Amino acid sequence: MLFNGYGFIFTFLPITFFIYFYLNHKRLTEASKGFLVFSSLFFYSWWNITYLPIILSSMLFNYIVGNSLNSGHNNHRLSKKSILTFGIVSNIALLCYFKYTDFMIDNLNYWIFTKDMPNLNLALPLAISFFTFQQISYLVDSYRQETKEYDFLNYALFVTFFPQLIAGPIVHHKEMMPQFSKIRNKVKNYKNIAMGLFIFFIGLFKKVVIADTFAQWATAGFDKPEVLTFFEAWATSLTYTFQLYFDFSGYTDMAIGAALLFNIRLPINFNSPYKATDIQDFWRRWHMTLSRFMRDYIYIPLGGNKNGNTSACINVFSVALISGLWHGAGWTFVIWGAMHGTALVVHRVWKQLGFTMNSILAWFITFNFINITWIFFRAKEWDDALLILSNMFAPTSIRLPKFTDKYFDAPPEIFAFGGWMNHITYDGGKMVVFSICIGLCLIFRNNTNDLSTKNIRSLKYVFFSIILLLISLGYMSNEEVFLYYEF
Amino acid sequence: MKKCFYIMNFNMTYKGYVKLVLITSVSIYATLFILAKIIIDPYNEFNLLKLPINKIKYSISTKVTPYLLSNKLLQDKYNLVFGTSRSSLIDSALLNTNTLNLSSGVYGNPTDIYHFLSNLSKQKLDNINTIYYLVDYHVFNTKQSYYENFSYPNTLFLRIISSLKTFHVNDIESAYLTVKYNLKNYKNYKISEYGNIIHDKLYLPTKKKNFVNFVYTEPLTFSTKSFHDLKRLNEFCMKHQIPIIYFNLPIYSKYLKTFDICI
Repeated sequence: MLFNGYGFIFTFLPITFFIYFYLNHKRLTEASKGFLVFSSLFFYSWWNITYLPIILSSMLFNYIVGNSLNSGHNNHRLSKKSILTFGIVSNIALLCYFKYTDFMIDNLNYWIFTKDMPNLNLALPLAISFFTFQQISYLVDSYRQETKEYDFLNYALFVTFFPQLIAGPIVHHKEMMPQFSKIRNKVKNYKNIAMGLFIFFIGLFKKVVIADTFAQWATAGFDKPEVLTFFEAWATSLTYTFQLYFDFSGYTDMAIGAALLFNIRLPINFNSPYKATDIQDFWRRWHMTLSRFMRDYIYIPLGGNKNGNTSACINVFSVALISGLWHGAGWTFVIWGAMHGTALVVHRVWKQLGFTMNSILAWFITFNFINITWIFFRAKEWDDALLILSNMFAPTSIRLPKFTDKYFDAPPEIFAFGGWMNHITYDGGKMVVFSICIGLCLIFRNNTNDLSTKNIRSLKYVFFSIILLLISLGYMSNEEVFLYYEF
Repeated sequence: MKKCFYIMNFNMTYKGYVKLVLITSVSIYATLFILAKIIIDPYNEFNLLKLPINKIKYSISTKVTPYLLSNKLLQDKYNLVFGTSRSSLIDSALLNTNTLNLSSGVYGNPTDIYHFLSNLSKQKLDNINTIYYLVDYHVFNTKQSYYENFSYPNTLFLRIISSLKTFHVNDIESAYLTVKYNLKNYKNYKISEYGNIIHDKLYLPTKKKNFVNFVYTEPLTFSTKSFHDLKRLNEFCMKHQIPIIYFNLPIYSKYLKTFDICI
């Protein structure tokens, strides 16, 4: 089930909302929690029920390990550190088994073995990357005695709560558990419902109207990188850059909005990332809950910046590399992580040397760096990424709109005229250029976090919400999958 | 102006906001759906009302039209025509037997045709006389098919639900054009109830040179899956004993030469 599907919007969400508050109204609070867990698992299983045992056993395992770590006195034969290590290794092993086995087999086949080992072709269980990280953070906090004794129902709700289950935000038990038990949150709150709907509609619009429109051109370009001309290659990379942002931030808005209907506040995940003027700033604004996890549970345990500058640089690079690998099992993701790691290290050194840069130039460099690295993130093969890059920076053909031919008496060899974006669109390319301009304007406008602080009770916002919803419904029939569902 | 500003900034309760947004949106959406899809009915999907504004149909929906046409196979035997816009004029008179033209509904790539046929019931398959398939030059680039897991309901209620699920802004545009063309007595072309396009005026492309340059100087892209599905389509027809006739477009030799540099 997708947030941008009719089934979710018109059936699942209203039914879950009404039954949850009805049970609370009847003071059946445990039943309401149980119902929310059941609904969340139903939502999860709708995609593919074969994944259900995996998430259930993972939850049960982590709950038991977490409770062992959380108990005040140590009456186990094993030390708490050993239990924690066992818990973390088991989680990572599960993730690696489903996500990285075929990647490892491919590499072994390529580099070591002479005879090909067959791939396992395992289907990646939905959301495994997200719920694994979420539960690892729970185990570490239990080890640090920062968690309380939760019963299984509360724990299950923390892991499975449907708005954040599939693609985050990666939530922390400290910010979720108190909200689930707060009595005031058991009653319908119209302010939260109104804000929740408003944010949900913005997210829906971002996904189905903006992201899915960019997706058509990005997909067309990435499907045939070998034929792209100069402008097509730039259009392909830029449209994917916008698609990814509007897709993922749209998903997050929908998650935040849906959670708010149940009086649950999810942490923000985006803060206008393409406004960033340096790469560190970008990572403070993009997928903020993943960055928080990486900082708290990888970077700091590795030593952070305590052991000198060289060690800090190595740690930053390692975290970026892990982040790349977390996003997908492929060398393109590793390269993407390495590029970001290198940029973070360069930025660190730059800052320490006390250099500064004009903010517009800094934004331009940062945005283009991110745009270029997304090519590796999206490309199916390393060669595809290189082809697009070479067409962007060392084009063998530049096709210009037909009307420009009158300005050239003897055009250079690589120039041609007419159909200048034929490989990614049939509309002559006007819509692509127009949409990229709109995308650039939108990233400088107020983001959803800013909009959600407005007083939305005026007619102005009522009209705005209605228009967002109606246009989104008009584009919804395609039900395109969110990009982060694949991670 | 001042009054308008005052109205737009008029504060209401949060409950008022929720009610107003939901009720208004649902009302507008339902009205648009009923008007565009059920009353104007641009694809002849429901066939409930015959009005001067929707008498003649000008639109085809890839999601609806092929299934409506295929329902005719429940009553009688037909030839099926698949292809591109270049085969969309072929009709029963030309082939001398009952013919359904799916050229504009199911676009002529083998992946879509294979999946569309494999979703048809046995009764429908048994009623196919012969398939005529125009294998055009640019149809081998498809990787995924919309028809892979798709069926179309027969009961009115389920059809409305299905139609609601696929309601798109393009349908509103189709409905608008249907009304506009019917009111203006537009006569360039129309869609027959058998799927073929009927041109009332002789239609010939005027910019032949540009057209050919546009299509055949661009490299054509192919997917292995398309060729694989062409083979699967052939095997499917053999298995169900459906004769299939492949044909291609006549092409000037000078344009044929450009294929070498395009492919």
